[in-house]
Amino acid sequence: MKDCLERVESALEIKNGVKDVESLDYMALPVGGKELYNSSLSIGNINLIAGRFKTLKEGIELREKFLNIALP
Amino acid sequence: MEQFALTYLKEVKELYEIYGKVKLAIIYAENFDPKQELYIAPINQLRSSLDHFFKAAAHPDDMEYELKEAKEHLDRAGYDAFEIFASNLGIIIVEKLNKYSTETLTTIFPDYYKIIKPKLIEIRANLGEIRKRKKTSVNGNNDSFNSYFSQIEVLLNFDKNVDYSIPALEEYHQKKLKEDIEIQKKAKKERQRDRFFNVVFVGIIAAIISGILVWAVTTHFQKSPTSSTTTNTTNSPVSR
Repeated sequence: MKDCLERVESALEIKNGVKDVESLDYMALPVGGKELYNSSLSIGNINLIAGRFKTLKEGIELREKFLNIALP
Repeated sequence: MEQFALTYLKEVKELYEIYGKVKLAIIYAENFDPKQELYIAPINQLRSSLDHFFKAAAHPDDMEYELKEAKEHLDRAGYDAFEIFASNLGIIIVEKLNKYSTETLTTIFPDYYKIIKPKLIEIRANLGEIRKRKKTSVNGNNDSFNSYFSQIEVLLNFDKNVDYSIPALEEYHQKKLKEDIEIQKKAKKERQRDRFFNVVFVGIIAAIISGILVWAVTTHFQKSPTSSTTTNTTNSPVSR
């Protein structure tokens, strides 16, 4: 296991020049463009797990819409 | 080590209360989304929070810092879910009530103006605060998501009350519409009657004026031949 981790760390160092793996953060999730998700679970041509992420940009737009909507 | 484990467990148990609320907020946000879309921002924050929990477990010296960070990410996940939930539900409530007039709302659903509208304005102010805080990247223990969670329950309650009041609002709205149509019909009839009387009156006046003119002209021309005949008679050779 330790050997495996060392190899991953070494690969990262080669690819990105990262020496301390602990300093790495997750990559940001998509904020636009590729927001569709699905899986290989399907019956015929119907995908059983499919949907769409609401992107950060859309979330902000929704908030702004509520902040600016005229209340009756 | 045992002391560390106990402290860690105690701290994590305390955070579990916030996590439970954040989870509910995310579930509500997903379920009340008209498009049933999964919002990415809270998931992102939960992922970061998990990262700090593990780091806290692995590094006893940094436990306090890591758990503080974990809590901040949990709070941010809650804020993100709350933003989407409150925006969606607020828009849904406003759109449900938008078609009714102020008079209908005041008569049938006075709570809207007394309770719901002021609260919606307050929630909007809170969202503005969250937006401001995000821009300035200030987040701390004093502004726990706990204080916002109660507003989710309030919004859910409002939505339920609005749904309950819709049949009565619709009935009153339809009644008012019918009354308005009746009033418009009555006004139209009155306008038509007035126009008819105006036409008749103008017609009568025109007829009288025409009559007078015809009489005047006739009288004039009836007199004229007589006077010319008289002249002719006086100047005729017979009379001479």
